[in-house]
Amino acid sequence: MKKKLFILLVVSCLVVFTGSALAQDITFWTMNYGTSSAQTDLLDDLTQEFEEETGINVEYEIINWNQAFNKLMMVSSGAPGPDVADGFWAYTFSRIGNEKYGPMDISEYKDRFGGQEGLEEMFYASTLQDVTFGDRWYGFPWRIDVKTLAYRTDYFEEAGITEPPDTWEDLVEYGKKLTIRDENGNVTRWGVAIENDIVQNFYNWLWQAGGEFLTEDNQKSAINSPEAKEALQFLYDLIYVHEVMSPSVIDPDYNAEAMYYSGKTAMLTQAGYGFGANLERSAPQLVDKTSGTIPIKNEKRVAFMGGGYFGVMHRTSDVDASLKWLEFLMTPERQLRYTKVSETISPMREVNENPYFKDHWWLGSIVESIRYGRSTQHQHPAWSQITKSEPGSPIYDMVVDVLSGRQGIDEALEETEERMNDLLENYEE
Amino acid sequence: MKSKKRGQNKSFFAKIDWYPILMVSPAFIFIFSLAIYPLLEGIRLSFFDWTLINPKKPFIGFGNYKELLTDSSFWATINNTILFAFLSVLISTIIGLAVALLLNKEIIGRGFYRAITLIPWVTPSVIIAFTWWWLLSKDFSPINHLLLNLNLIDRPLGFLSDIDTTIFGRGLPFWSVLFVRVWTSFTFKTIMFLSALQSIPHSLYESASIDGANVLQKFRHITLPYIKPVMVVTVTLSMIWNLSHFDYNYLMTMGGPFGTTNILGVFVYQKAFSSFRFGYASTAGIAILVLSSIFAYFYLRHSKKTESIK
Repeated sequence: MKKKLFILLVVSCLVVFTGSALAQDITFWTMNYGTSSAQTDLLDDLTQEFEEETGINVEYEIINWNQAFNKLMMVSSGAPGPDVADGFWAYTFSRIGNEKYGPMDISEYKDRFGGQEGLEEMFYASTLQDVTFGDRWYGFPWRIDVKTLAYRTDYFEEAGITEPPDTWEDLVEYGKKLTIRDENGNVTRWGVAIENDIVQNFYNWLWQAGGEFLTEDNQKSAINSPEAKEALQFLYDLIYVHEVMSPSVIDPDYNAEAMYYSGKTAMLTQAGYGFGANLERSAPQLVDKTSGTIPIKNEKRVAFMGGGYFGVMHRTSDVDASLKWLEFLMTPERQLRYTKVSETISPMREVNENPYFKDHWWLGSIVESIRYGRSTQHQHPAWSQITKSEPGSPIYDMVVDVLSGRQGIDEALEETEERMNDLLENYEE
Repeated sequence: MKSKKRGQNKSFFAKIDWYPILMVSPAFIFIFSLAIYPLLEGIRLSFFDWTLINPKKPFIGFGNYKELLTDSSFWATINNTILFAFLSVLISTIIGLAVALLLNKEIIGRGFYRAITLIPWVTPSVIIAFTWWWLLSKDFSPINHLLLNLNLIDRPLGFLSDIDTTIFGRGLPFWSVLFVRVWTSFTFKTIMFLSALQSIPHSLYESASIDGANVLQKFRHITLPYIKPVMVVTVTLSMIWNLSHFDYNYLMTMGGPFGTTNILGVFVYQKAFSSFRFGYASTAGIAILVLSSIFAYFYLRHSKKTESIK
């Protein structure tokens, strides 16, 4: 009896282990978007549909945005990771991974997706550039974010302003009209506010002034320029000369969106796709009193355009299953579902042409701004160190030091240039 | 000859009592893989220019140590770390003891008070940090609102940002973060002290009362000696934990503004995950190890002493 039981146990173990070895399983990482319940429901549905269609089981994991950068960085350095991931800055992470870890070059499979022509038909060219370097292709762009300007229409009306600001000068002029002080001189409403991420913010100001972070070959810093000086001076003046923006924009307790929701600011620059959905949830009474516009201009009309892509990771156990999952996800119909739930904007032309986005009270202005969007990615692995929005990163320190008045603009630019070049030169192929 | 050696080996292994080794091995494997190995790896990394984004990670000997010792921000961070740890432990011990003495009295609702005292200790640090972050935010703080309404201030205070308003030479962010650290840590001390207080025989206080001892004398000659062993252990452990603290200084201010609340735990994190310099961050981590080891030494010495008395 004991012998029979033992044999039965061994056979059961073999069946279980063989079964699990034969089953196709892949893992998928994505960051958190929209509401967690809606995202989980969608991913449950999609993975189930995919399993029914292909027999491949996808285990998904939602990574919090706060950890996303470090997790992708660790995976690109050799830590265990998923088969397919929602990524960004493909160039930086692929260079860190050195074609051994992190994002995988999948150009040899391009024909499965209609080749270059097929991809160009599906996506905006600028978003494809973000995942294509030379002859290497790292995945499918699936979301784009253009930072633009949100403003309170009721405050504009009160101040007799009929048009949204179009230039830096307009921003100052409107800001003055919209800033309100109490009898003690304390500001009760600021005319202008900038979003919390001061590094992402600075992209807009620098580019609109006509400046650049790096030289054309991405090997040297170009920050010490008259354009960067103009951008920093403009931000400084908004606070201390024109007094239309709070000095607390660089403080650890500054919360730009909460300022907007509570009526403490009339205009919010660099608001992204998430702003509209956040407003609908946190201050729905302001939806009818809020409007968005295309990015303002100075020398140029240009805006920060971030984005994300789905790519296969080097440590995948099954390239074919991973590609099938991407193939499944990247249809216009599924991307429409995905984009709606994640409250983002799609880089797929067909998705964006859907009236849901075009006619949306907030997303409409983001879609319209895409043509002014510029990729934030610079093709150097040290770029991640240069623009991390935390103390210790050169751009962050520069903006904070200047806007706090601790350092003069010329001195800050000189020091930042030196720090950036140190980081750029330190990287060896 | 060979057979003799084999025989000797056999008798050597046969002599070993495998049972205790077997019993200890799970704990050893656990401690080795989660504490000893990362520690040794950290020490090893500190001798390399191990930057995450750089494929070449050369051995640089004491290069990181030299750089660290000449880094002014590191010394400012050391200064902050020690000050935060010392003040946090001191204030939370005083408050913890006071609350423990109160909760040891026969008061109405004692069980309820004991339960709510645990709240700051059992609440996740992220929730505490963000709740206090809102409560202390310059633009939305109800505390500011109250102070303004009472005409005690004429403008909102930047609890987490104003480094120009100083108390004992330290800006408001330092005191705000310290306050939160004390608020969350005094309860642990309360629990420890309360358990020690409950072990004091009541008859001692009765005898002292008959002898005419006042409250302070009873505290000094009965309470304090009885809770001293617990106090030494609690304070020493708290000091070790505080020296490697990370949560509130990072979550509330990211070590800012301008490094005024930066401590070693945050410094190490920033060097590793903002600058991706894992070698340099490991070197700074060694500083935490050295600082903690000083207190760990006192703790171990005290434990040994207590054991020998027993």
